[in-house]
Amino acid sequence: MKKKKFIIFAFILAFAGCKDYLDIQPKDKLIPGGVEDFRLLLDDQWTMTLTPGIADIMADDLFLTEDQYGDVPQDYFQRSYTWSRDLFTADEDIRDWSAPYTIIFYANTILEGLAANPTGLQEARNQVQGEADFYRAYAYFNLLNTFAKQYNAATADKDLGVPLRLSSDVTAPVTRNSVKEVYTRILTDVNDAIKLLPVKAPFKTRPSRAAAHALAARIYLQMGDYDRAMEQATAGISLQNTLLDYRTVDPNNSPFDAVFPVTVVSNPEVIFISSTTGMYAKNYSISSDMHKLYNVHDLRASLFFREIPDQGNYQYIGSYNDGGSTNVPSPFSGFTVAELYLIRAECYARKNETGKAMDDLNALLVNRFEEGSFQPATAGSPKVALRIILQERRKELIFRNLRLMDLKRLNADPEYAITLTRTLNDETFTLPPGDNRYVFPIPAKEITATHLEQNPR
Amino acid sequence: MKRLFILLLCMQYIVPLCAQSVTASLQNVPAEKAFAVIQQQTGYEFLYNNESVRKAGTINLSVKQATLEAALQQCFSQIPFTWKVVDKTIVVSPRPVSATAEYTISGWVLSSDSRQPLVGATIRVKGTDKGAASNGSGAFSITTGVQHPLLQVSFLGYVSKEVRAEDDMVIYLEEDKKKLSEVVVTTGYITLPKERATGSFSQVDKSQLDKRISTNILDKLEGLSTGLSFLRSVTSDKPKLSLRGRSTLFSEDQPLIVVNGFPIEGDLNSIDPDDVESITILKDAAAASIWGVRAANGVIVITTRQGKFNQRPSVEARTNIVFGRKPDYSQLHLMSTSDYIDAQQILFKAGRFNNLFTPGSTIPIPEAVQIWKDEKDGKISSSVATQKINALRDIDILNDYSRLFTRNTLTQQYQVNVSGGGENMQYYLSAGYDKNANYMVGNDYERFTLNTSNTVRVTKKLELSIAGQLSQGNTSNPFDVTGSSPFDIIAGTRSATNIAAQIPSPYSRLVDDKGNALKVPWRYNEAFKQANYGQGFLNMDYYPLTEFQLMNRQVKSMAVNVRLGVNYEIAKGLNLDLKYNLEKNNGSDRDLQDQNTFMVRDNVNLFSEVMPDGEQVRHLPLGDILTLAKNDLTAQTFRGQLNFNRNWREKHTIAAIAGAESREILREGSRQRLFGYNDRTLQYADVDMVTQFPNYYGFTNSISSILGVGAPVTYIKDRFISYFTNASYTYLNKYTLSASGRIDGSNLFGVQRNRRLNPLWSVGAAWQLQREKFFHAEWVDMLKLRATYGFNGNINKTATAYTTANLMTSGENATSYIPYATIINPANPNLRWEKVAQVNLGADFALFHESLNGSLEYFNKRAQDLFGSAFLAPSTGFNSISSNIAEMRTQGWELKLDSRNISTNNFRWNTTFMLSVAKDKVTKFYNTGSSMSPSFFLLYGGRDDDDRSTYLPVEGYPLFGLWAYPWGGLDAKGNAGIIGPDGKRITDRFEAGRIYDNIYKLKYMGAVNPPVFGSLANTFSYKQLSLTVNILYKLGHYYRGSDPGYYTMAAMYQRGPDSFKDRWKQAGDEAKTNIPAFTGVRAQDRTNNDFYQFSDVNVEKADHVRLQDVLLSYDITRQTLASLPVNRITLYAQASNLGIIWRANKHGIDPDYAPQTFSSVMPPVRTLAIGAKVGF
Repeated sequence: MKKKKFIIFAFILAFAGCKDYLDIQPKDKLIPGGVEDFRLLLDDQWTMTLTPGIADIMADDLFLTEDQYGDVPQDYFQRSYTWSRDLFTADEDIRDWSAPYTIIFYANTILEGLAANPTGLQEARNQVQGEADFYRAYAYFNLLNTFAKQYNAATADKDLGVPLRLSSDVTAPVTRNSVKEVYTRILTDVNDAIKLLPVKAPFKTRPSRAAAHALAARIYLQMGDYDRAMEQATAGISLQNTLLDYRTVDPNNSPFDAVFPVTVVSNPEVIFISSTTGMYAKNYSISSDMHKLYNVHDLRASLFFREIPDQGNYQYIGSYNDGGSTNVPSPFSGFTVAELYLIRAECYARKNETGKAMDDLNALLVNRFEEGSFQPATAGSPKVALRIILQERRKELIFRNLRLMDLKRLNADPEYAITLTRTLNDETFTLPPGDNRYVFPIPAKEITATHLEQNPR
Repeated sequence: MKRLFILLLCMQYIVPLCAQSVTASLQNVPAEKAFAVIQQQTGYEFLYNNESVRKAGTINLSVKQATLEAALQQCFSQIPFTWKVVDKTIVVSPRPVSATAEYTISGWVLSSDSRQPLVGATIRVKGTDKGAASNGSGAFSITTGVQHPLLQVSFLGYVSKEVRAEDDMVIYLEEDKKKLSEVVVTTGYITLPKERATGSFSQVDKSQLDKRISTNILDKLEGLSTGLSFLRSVTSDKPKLSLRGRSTLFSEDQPLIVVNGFPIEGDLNSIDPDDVESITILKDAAAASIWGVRAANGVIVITTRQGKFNQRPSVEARTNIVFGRKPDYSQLHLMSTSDYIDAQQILFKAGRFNNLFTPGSTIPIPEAVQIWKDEKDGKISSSVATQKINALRDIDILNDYSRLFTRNTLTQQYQVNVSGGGENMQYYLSAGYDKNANYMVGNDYERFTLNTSNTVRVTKKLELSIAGQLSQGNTSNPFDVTGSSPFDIIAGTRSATNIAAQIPSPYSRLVDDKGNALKVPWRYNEAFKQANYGQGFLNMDYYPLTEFQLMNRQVKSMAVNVRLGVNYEIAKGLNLDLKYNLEKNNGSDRDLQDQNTFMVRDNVNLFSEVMPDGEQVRHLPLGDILTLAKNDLTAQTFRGQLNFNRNWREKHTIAAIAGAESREILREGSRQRLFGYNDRTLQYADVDMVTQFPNYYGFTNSISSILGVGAPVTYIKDRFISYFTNASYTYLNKYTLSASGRIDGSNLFGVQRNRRLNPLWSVGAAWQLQREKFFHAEWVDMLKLRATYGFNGNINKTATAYTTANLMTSGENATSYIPYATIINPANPNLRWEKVAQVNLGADFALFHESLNGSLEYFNKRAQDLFGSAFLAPSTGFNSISSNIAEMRTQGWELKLDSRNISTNNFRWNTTFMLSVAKDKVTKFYNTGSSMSPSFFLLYGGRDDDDRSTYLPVEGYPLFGLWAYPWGGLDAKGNAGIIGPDGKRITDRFEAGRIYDNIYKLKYMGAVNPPVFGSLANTFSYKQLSLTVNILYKLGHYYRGSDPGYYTMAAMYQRGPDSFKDRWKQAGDEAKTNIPAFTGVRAQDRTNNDFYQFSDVNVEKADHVRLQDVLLSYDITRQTLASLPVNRITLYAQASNLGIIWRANKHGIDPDYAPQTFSSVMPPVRTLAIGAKVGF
């Protein structure tokens, strides 16, 4: 009997000692917890460097022929183009809304993780935290520009902004925070980023301090805070100020398709790379009237555009994004030195410093004109300077998801407000300044899930 | 001494009376009776041991005026005794062993039902210790001293019989239905008599499996078990199994397959169907819950053949040859070339091909489009154009395709096996070889299998077993989807890079009249090619035939399975069972792409850089590209188990097991690609995989981004640990109670530790009603009622409770090319494993002297905590989260009837009828954020396919339901409309999306999977000839017809369905047809396409009855053909896939293979199999 008991006992024992047997983890997965993990998440360029792109479909630079309109891939792009009141159907995934929120989720995960786990080198921690702050600020700023009213100090605390999600808990309930609340968060984040980020980043897909300044300059400009915008633009220019000399660019370098001949990585004026979620760059085109805005000696006229035969308009081929390995260049929407010059020039003009304004503008334009044909721009008054600068801004920063933002902030000033019109299939559409349709509706999918208050259209 | 003593004790003296001649006519009387008659007539007394003589059985004595000598001679030829006359006394004594007379008795033992040989039947000469067992063909031979002794013949499951020995006799044994109902069922852990089982088991034995010829064991199961249905979808040629309907959303949905007690992780193709002895299907909780977290979809237990103790070696050889026709592409129901040209002309006139002629366009131009363009440009006259176009109308690329790429199929199967056993050991050995020439030219499959199983009794208490199986498979130039749309080869999807989904026009020819390969317009137009050739680029033409001929891919697999077992009897009724199982699969894939293939040429061009000085530099060397992949699987299980089985005073029976097992599954894989490879020298070139090179498009790419192998190394290790117990108690052989429990743990990633262990249990009861005294119905031979309740589990390996990211390689990142991680799932700490509770009520019965047997079962499954993607608000940054989101209920019932309709000596007719009903319904769907938008369901719903991300549960409906718009008919211009919920006609797609914003507003049509299905098999046999006719049916489900192809036709030159010819063409047609007009206007065509496709007029009833196969077999035995050199030959022929006998739809479409534009799986071709089985 003893022997039998022993057998049974040994048998039970053999299976009791397996405590760690199940504690194995798969090799190709990651549960982010430390600074190195956050580094990897921040380098997820396909996620982190996306910005909305639908605004350029709606803004007035884009001009599509009927054929091109028919080729537009998404129904809601078509409806945005004609400023329809109804845009999104119930099940559409509107990346312009969800992509920034994915960035926000990453940032929240990282900021929470850093707080929970104090290990890691301080330098690395700072950089990771600064990047997370930068991305969150950039994402919220892009959301506001697309889905909320233009910032107006008088009404900002009542105007509907977007929901502020500041934790990675996906079950947390949300409501629409005010425009002011969101801006407050954006400014806190971007100023934190400026403090934490290193002066230089090894890749242009990682934000540097110059990128944070550029973001801050864009934000303050949009808010109409020209002092701070100028301050930030200056700070940015002090860190990075090389412009690409278009006279050195060989237009034949890309004979077959729609990309800028200089790669985005080697382009010295690019501060930070981001891309829109919108149409492919080659699907954008402008009217011949718009093309006429470019001087015949302006190199951008040919580097940014080529004429589409039999259609009477011009295809956009000027996106700085070469699309990387995907061969599908979605338009560049990042920050450049040129934008900083344009912001500072505008701020100077608005502060009646016409000379400084035109100096900044000419510093840029000298790089855009054919050899020997450049005539420095001059202005007799700050107002004239401002008009010139705004026109140059439109021409330089075309299809970078900035035009609608500019229209929104300029519409607030009756002097610059314009009514947009476009014609398609013999039908004329108009969009007066301040129209509700300047603000995109919250995607229906979001409304169904969280019952957020919808924007009036 | 003892024997002599007994003999003396029993001696009797019998006094003789009269004359010495004997006359008698006695049939089957005890020897004593004959002795008494002889004694009476002759006066001679008999002296014998009456006990031993009595044992010798009966004799016949038929004599007339015979001498005593002759009468005695006759008597003693039938019993193993001899006699001696001593003083008028006949002394009877046992025949000495060294008796000079030796007779050889030989014959066959066959089943009287099936006329199949009974292998291993015991034949004994009555009253002696002489005996034999029948061999593989049922033959036996005994050498004995008696010429016509009584033979006792017995076989498990059959009624034992005594017969008088004759020359070359055939002994038929009747099946003992009572004993058959005592057949054992196995769960993989325990084998128990079916009589005492409380759960729902379906058993399929070898004779049933033999009735269908296939190289795949699961194919043989269709229609042989209630509750088990085979579901086919347009995306895969492999049917999915569904046992009692579906009870999961996104987790494992296939039954667990167990081979000889262990789950098989590798390919089931490694098993030779001829080696399979039986299959048990565990359907309810009591049957399956012993398998714990893997049992939710039921369990299929396969047992392979074994030898038997004390059995003479039996050898069996079998061969099958199956002939099949090449695919019939008319089954795709595609539009004709002429219709296609008409459609293309409409598109051309609408300006839809203008973009092909814009400068800088690289897109190839279809021939017809070029002709119209030339006509428009005035390069050719209208009449020439018409003439050229008309010449194209008669061409159909499918004809070339069928002729050049496909062939009739031929499958060959060979197997030989030997089994037997001695006092202390048993063995089984088999070798098999299969060779399939599949329908695609060059696609061959070969399989070699070896299988052995041995058991040794070391001592009375200790038994050791070792079994091994080896299988080697080799596939050349495999095609993933059998019988799929034939475009995959033309469309180049077999290349390493997926060339854009362009399709050559139906009027493209693959060869010229002399048989030379022709190029088709492909990827690049001529202008682009010419521009590049000047710069030194390689040829850019695409020749489908050449591509096909250059294919060189070999997929090999090697599977080894080893089982070791020790069984030790610790005490009476208590055994310790230790088992170890090792399953190892090694798969390799070698794909050699010749340097002349388009893929290689194209990629060399892509990485050719033209330097400013005009010189061309190739970053990718010219040469073959060789892709090598390896996939290895190692599964190891160690199991220790105590078995207890005891019976007290014939009243109480307890059978119980308890044990534990650990299991580890390791999957490893690697992939590499060699460039500039030369298969003759085996050399290859080093290339720079990382640097970004500009290409002729102006984009930059690294070689790894285009030709990288993705993740070069895969490594997944999973572990399970389980504790299980199962016990049953039976009282008076009438009442049985059973219970089982199992706890599983695994390393499931991210699931919190305390949720890893998952207890699952079941209880059951059974009642043998006919054994009750109060039960009197004489026509009821057996009636058993049973009921069970319990839980099975299901796992989902993708579940994760923490925020989880995939690690990505640097090459996949845009512009920066640095490594990164992308979040795939936000945290969800509340994840639980799925659970399925099941109630099963059943009755087994045998009626009318067992001429009608069957069972009736009812089940109700409630699946809880079903795992899936819960919708999230987009503002979370995610569309969904892994979560326990739904509950389902599946209920149904099953009826199986076996009836012996006619049973005479020569003619028999048996029928087996099976009916299964299984209806599933989503009872709960915790969708906090779902838009339940119908377009999602319309596009993806209503399909039970492998793409698990594309369906959604809808509360109150089957998981796979079909919804549709109410059809609004065609307007006067032939444009489609649908009817809104308010009865108004909708003609705008966007409007439809806005109005139908919720699935519940749509019209529900029905389920996609058949709620009712079953089979009807009839077997007729006349003497040695037998005919089995198998009919399968599926009822009560629906399918959605193909879309008209209006959208894809323009977008990708795809050829739509043949319904195009019936479309609206002119005013008035709207009264005759529902197929909308084809306008060439993108928006209108898309609306017409979608409205028609997703409306109720395009949903059809899928009910159908199918003649699956007919089997004719004929036995030749020595009994019918004395000169037969072997014991037995069975010849058979089977015709399969004979087609549909009845269908509900009027379109001649096989609903199991309803064509869908461009993704069709074709119905299997008819096959004819012939085969022979020889028993030595």
